[in-house]
Amino acid sequence: MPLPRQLIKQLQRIVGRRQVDTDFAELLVYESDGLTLRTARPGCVVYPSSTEECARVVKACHGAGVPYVPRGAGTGLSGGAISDGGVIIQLSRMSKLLGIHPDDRYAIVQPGVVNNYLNLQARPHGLEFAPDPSSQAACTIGGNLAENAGGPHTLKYGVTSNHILGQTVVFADGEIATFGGPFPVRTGPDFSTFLTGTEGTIAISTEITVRLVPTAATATTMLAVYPSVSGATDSVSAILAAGVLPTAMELIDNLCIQAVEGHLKAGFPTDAAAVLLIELDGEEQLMKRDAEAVARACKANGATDFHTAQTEDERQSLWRGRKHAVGSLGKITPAFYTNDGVVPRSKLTAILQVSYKVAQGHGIRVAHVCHAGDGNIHPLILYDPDESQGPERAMACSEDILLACLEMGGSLTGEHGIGAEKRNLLPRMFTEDDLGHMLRLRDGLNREGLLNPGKIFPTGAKCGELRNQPVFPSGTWI
Amino acid sequence: MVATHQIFSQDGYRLLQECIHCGLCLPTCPTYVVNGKEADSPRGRLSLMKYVDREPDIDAQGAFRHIDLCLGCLACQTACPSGVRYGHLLESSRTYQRQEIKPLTGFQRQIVTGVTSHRPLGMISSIIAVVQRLGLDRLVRVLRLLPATLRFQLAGMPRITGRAFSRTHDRLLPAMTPSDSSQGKVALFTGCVMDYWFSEVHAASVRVLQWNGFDVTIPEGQSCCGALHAHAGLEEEAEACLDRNWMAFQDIDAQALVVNAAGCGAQLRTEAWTSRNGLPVVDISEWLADKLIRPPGKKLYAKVTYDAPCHLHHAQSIHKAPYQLLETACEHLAVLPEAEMCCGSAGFYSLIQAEMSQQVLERKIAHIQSIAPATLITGNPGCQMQLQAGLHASGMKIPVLHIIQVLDQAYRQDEAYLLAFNLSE
Repeated sequence: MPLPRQLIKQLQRIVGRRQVDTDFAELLVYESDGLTLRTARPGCVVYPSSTEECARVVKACHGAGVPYVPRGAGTGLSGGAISDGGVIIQLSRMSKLLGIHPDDRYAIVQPGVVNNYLNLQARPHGLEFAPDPSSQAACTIGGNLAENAGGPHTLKYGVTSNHILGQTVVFADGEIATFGGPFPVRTGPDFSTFLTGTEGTIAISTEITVRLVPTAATATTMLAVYPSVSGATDSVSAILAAGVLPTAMELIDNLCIQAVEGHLKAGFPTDAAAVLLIELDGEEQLMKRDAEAVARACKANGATDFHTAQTEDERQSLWRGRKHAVGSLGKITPAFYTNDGVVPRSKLTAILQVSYKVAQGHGIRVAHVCHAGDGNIHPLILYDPDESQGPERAMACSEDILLACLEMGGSLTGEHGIGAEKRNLLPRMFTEDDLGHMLRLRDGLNREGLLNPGKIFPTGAKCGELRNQPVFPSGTWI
Repeated sequence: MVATHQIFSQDGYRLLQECIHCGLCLPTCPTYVVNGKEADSPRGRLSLMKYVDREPDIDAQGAFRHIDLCLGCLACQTACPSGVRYGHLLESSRTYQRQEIKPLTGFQRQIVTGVTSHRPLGMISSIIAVVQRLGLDRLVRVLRLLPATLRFQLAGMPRITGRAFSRTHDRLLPAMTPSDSSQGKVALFTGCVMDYWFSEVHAASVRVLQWNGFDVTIPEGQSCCGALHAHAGLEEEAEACLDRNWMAFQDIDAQALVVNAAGCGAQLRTEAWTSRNGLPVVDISEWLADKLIRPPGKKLYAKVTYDAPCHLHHAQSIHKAPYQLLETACEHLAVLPEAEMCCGSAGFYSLIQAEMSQQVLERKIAHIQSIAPATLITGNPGCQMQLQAGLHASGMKIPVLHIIQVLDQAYRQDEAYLLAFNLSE
């Protein structure tokens, strides 16, 4: 159903004619985000340039009873930024860095600021924004906040919610509010942290105050090479058991190495079953001691080669290989689906075994990159979208892996969010009662359900319909 | 699902599928950076190509409006982790567009062929040379006699003689073959616009190559590289250019075909040339970076900065060589923020898509302003004119030079160099 003409005109008055897209071709390109399995075409796309414009846009949509969805760079992997016939509020024009305050170690940004850009501006001050999702070259701070994004280095420094100090938001009815701020004057509940990770279903963040942390003066990056995947996963536990907390511990398996080396050539050995990319930072003497412990743990668990990056170029190359690993899969498959399961670290070896086996059962190829230190796995399930049942088989395979994660005491998502993609699995994780409470909370703040509908919670989530036996004990919240 | 393809072959479609929608290209795309719209991003354009290819009843005109806005800078290719060959896909789409959707008008076609073939270009050049000599170009600008876009371009043009370098180099350069011509022989590509408007760059190229022990040959019968045709979707004309150049160079005994215009280098480096196994095509910066056996004795002192031509950095993946060369010649080489982002020139783009071109240029000029160099350096004629025009419009008196001109300037501080080439200081 087309959007009311009246609303389009109203939006044009607010942001200007050229900042409202209604042409077919212009809408077509918004039909998916980083997850290409879920598609939906919006009725229009609007580009506000300030908090006030954003609030007026929201008010207009709210008044017209039309659903609206905030969107950043569209790199998300759970279909959170798509809208079926509604209005997409595209925040790419709100990409100003409003200020860096090196002495007090914070920055204020608009939501459309790209993660890497913030770092580029902060580094001359010896500071950086710690969350570093692999898509950081393109993803925005607003999106990081919405998904409570992680990244390799959040093993030591913590995920996005640890780095958001405050935010100005536009609520579902267009009301503007500010929570938190650069300084710890906190009374009452911490609403800013509560809003972080709500996937744009409660409010749209339009001005974000982020914590900046000092950039480590020195870092050591090591590459351990394994003839078996279990050697790599066992090493992860052994390293942590040795009392070392690396900044990052990343696992990349053979198929993924093949993709990376096919185009990027980062320097991963193509005959390895898996490699572990391990990084340490901090004080020189301590780092040296830790590096020795890491080397011992890796070798004890079957690493056939252990190599420390000798130059900054080499270090950058290894990281480029890791960060672009998922993107490089285009070389070996026409499409893939990125799973985001989590297990307790001790179950890492077991879950990867399950993952390979499940994929084999479905007759599907699967590649892996994992934030191994966090127990966050990314089985990359390869499929052909033009093959009959290709996408369906990929989804079925992913679901089996996720259910195995839950059974091992893990979760459906580590950093990509539930979005449109995994909402129907949520009842497998939480009890009916708990889901009901969560829904009531959301509905209290997004009363008409117009802000980003159809995300996180199961479709038709009337409490009585959720009949599956959840894995999480009653009283557990998302 | 049985689908017919409008644009691509099955192989071409597979290349398109290499885009897995990750979005890493977005912030490197100048048009996306300017307006923040997905349809004007590489990922968006690839989606549009896919739809035009597969769904016959899609609004192709609407889709091509956004594909038309692409500069073809190929920054997305550098950013792409999957190695999607965006440039190749773009040209396929444009060829389809010219054949099926919107053929070039006769006038547009004439402009492309006129500027790139010797006789008409010679005539245009003679007129411009006279206009410049009489100071009429200033008058034209003051009295606003031409459309704004043309006036803007006129301000960026170098002073020209109206004669082609390839036909006058015997008189312009002393017939010097250095006695220690120990590094062998190379052929120089003279091109079209470079030949008439940037003869100074060619002259400097020959001097610097000779000074470093290379024998330089300039074969006759060369023509335009065909890049402008290819970008406009005129596939056949582009191939004809390639054939003419192939004829000119196939029997030349040299180590390499040295090109000093990034756009030409990128065009000649395509598979059509390399598959014939002829002279290897190299950019002059990449060729000289590790063969500068006589680096300048004294560096230039003034602060300079370098803006990377897209067709050098992105299309040919030559990243470090220009810096290596410039470091031998310049004391103060400042790093220009976003040096790898397009300046908005992009061949005829600056005339056809003037508004976007200007917006892209504004960003570039602001970065140059933040550095405030004495000289701005680049490596492609289109960029040189666009940047010069932009600096002129913003009231900055900063000359824009080719890498090789800067090297030549550094050498000119040496008496022996001046003497060898019969130059005055």
